[in-house]
Amino acid sequence: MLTADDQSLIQKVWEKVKGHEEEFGNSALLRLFIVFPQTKTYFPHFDLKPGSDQVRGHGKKVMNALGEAVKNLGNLSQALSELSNLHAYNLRVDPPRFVLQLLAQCIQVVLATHLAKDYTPEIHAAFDKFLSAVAAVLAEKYR
Amino acid sequence: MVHWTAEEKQLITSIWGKVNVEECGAEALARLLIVYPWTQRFFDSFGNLSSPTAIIGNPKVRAHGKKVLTSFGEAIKNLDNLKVTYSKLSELHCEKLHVDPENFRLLGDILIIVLAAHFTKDFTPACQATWQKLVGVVAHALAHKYH
Repeated sequence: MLTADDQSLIQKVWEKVKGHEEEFGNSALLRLFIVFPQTKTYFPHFDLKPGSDQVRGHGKKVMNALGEAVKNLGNLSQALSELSNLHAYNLRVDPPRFVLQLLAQCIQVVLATHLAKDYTPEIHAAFDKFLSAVAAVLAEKYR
Repeated sequence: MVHWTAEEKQLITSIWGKVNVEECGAEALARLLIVYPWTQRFFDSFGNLSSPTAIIGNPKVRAHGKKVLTSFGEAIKNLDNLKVTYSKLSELHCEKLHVDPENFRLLGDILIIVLAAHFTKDFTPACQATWQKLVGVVAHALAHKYH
């Protein structure tokens, strides 16, 4: 459950992400595909080589969606409802929590490489909770 | 047996050579206890774990973090013989400490984030890939003697 403190820390981190959604999203996806190659199976229709415009564009999309979630921390279920439908009925990323967890790890690594010691234990905890909560909402309608 | 390429071994040793085992170990263990507070269940005897500040400043957490990461260093020296190297530790974690192996995976992921924050852009995707493989293999070796 996201406490008021968590919400404030998440918003604080997101201030550092704003303006860099494309760069961070691109880095996170590139890491996902290199570090966890099984995730590439969800993108047979993409050019996955570094420098790919498709990956860059998709990374930006993912981070923008997270940005929307950050604006709606008190109501993630509703804010992510459309995306939840998409993941459940169209994308069917499987197993839902597991693969999204891999992406969450990569997003956190990207944040850590950019924020260094500003990615404090408290912020790490709050953001980890946030990404878990988002993954849970996206997996809600799977069955 | 796990196969390590020359490049992977290089990425492991070049990062490890620059790691302050005491600081990094303390940081990783503290973050484990902060980010996944249920892991505190294994550390009842450690005293004050009531807040992130308390955990970070706790001398037992620091000492144990150093111990854990020093042991990790042993794994790095024995990459081709991990299951044997960790045989006794695996039995210990199962029979005496009763630690669910899922916790090894959690600590591994936390260690990766600590390294990322420390090395920033030098913690390249290739680095992360090698180290995720390493923490996975270490976790597997630690779970190997569970019964």
